[in-house]
Amino acid sequence: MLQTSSCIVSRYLSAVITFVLFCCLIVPGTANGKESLTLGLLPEMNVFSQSKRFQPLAVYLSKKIGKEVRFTILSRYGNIIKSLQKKQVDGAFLGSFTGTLAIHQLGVEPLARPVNLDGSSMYFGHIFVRKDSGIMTVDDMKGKIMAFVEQATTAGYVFPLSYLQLHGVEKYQDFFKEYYFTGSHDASISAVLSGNADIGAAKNTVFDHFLETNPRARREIVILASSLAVPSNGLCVSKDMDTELKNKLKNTLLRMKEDNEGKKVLKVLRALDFVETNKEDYEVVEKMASHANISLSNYQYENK
Amino acid sequence: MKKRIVLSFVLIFSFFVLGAGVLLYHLFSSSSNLRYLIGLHEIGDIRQELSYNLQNVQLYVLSPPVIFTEHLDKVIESVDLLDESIRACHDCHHVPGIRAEIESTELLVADLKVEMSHLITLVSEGDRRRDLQRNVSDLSNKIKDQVHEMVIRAATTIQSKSDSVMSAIDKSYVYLAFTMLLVLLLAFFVAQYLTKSVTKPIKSLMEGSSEIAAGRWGYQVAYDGKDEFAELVGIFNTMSRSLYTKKRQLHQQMDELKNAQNQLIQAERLTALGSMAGGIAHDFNNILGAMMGHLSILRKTIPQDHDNIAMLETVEKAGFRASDLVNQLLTFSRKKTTKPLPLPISTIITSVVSILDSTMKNNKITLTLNLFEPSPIVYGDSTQLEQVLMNLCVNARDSMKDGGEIKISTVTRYLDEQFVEKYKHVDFDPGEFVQIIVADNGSGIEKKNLTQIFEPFFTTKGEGKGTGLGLSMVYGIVQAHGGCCFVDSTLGQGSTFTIYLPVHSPPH
Repeated sequence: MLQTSSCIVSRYLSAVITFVLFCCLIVPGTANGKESLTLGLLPEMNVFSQSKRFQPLAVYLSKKIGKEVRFTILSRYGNIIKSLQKKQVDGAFLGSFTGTLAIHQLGVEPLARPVNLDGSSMYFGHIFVRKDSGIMTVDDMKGKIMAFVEQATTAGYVFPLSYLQLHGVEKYQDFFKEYYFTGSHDASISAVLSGNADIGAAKNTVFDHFLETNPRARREIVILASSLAVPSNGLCVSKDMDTELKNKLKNTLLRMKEDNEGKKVLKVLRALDFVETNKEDYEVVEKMASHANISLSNYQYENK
Repeated sequence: MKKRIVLSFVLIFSFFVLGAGVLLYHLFSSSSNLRYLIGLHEIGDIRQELSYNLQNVQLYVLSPPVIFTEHLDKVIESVDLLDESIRACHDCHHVPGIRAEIESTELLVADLKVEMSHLITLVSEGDRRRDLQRNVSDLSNKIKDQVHEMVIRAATTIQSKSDSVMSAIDKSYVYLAFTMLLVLLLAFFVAQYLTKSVTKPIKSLMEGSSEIAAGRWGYQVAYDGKDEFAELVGIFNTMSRSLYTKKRQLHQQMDELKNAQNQLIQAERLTALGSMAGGIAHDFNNILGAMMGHLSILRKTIPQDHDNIAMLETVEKAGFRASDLVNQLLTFSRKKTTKPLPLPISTIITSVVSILDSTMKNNKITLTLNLFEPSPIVYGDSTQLEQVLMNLCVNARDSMKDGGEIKISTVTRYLDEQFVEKYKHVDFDPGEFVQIIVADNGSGIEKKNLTQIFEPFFTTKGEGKGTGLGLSMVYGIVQAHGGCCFVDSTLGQGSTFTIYLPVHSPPH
């Protein structure tokens, strides 16, 4: 009898401890009143370079908003939606497609997006091949190997899909001999350059940077098609974030170029400035998704 | 000497600087190697960190995508740390060979980051993932191998540098000891050399001074150097010679002074004797004149056959002898009346020589004349001057028992104030004189007798052989003629009488 009672007590105690530990693990990551702010980054380019690019911005934002800001890089584009859903991150620099998805599915709020070194705050997608591949048209692509970036990227998936649809390719799965997802834009370019794939897709900012640092790529890769311009990767935050914090973040980004430290951070980011962005800016992506037969409200995908 | 001292010190200093320079070079070399070693040990930590991060990365390589998703930040941190470690290595190394290896490793790490990123972000599974995993694994193994090689090389370098540091430190001790010993020996030899260089001439000079103090005037110190001591020794030797010369001059002057004193004493004695003898002779002559007058009258009044006539004759003879003696004394005392006339001295001499010629030959004596021509003229009494020469020649003859030679010579000389000052006991004025020298190679006169030779009644001829008035007369006659006479004689070699008579200058 005594033994039974102690067993019951023990079970309750275990349950209480488990619950407390669970709360301890969950609460610090999502609460608005917490000491730090976690922002997600997409692996649009080499994850190490990406991490290094955003490190100074974390320091700068921490100083300006009076709260520790840390960036966490995600290995998958699609994971950002899950992370936001699970409130593992308070916001993220989302690509145009993931941004559009998050707006539609999670109601995230876009705050600001960077102005690229060419002066625009937009980017567009490229479809490219090796010069010696002999591929000039969509017809030439048939039976070749395609390197997409990820199913949640505009330039790396939605645009090539839309492009193929417009050129009569209904089901790319049957059109290509093989296709796969590299996970990042520069990995897609590397795949084409190294011969692992015949056709690649990537966003122009990463493409241009890749070609800047790789003379062989400049010599050997040629662009076959480019998409319409879409908004650059802007900072979107959870709809639950405190308004004051949101404003602080937004204003800090918009005023970065006004001080020397901010200018230095912008230089590392390869950006000139930050401009305000809103949901309307993502309409062009919505249209592109529509052409690619993608329903943004319930778009679910699984990488292969 | 100054140059030698300076050169010696420069030599010692040069050796010291040389030794110190070599020592410093080795110490610098050692400290440089030590710094290098410290650097190697410091980068040993970096290598360990690098290996640790590499192991972390390798652990993730074969992980499924879900692990990457969960630990992506750690993976990125590990790779970044790996990158930082290799960059830290790059900053530490400066040897070109090692730098090239590090740069090669850096490139491998850069490639690893690219491949790792591709692996992390790759969505597809299957062969592509395995290929990327293999690529990453190969790259990480290559990095590991290179790091391992670098570790081995670093260990070898540490060993080699440690050995060279120890060797350099050992060498430094040797060089320090060698330098100290060399400088010590050099300083010892230089000190000894300098001490010898200084003390040797000083010792010689001290010996020289002692010699001079002991009376060896003119002592010369020998020194063959060419330094300041040579000058000092030169000055010392000059001083010594000068002292010697001065001493000789002083002795000479003392001798001359002594001679002059003796001559003065002699002259005064002769003058006193002359005055006394003259006074006595004058009175005695008057008495003798009265005696001889009365004796003459007495003899005329006594018959020739008278018994006392022989006694009268003896008295008369003694009276004549006394008269001669008185005349000689008067001549010595210059109280005898003279009849001076200008006379050629050569004529006087030849006249006397002609009288004495036969007697000289009988005594195997040669008379040699060397007379100045034309004959100098003197103003005097011919009889008295002939008597002077006669007395001198007779004395010379008497000193040459076995024959010999008598040389008579004349010459004119100007006797100046210096000569007059030198013989101030002689009463004459500077002017032109005829010098008459009568020299023989007879027995000579003892030195002790020279001062008395002209005194009346002084004779060395023995009792009954001379009156001791001959040279007194010579002295008196020459003095009466305004001249002077000197004698110089060496026992056993002969005597030389020198007479100066003033040359007559007829009134214009």
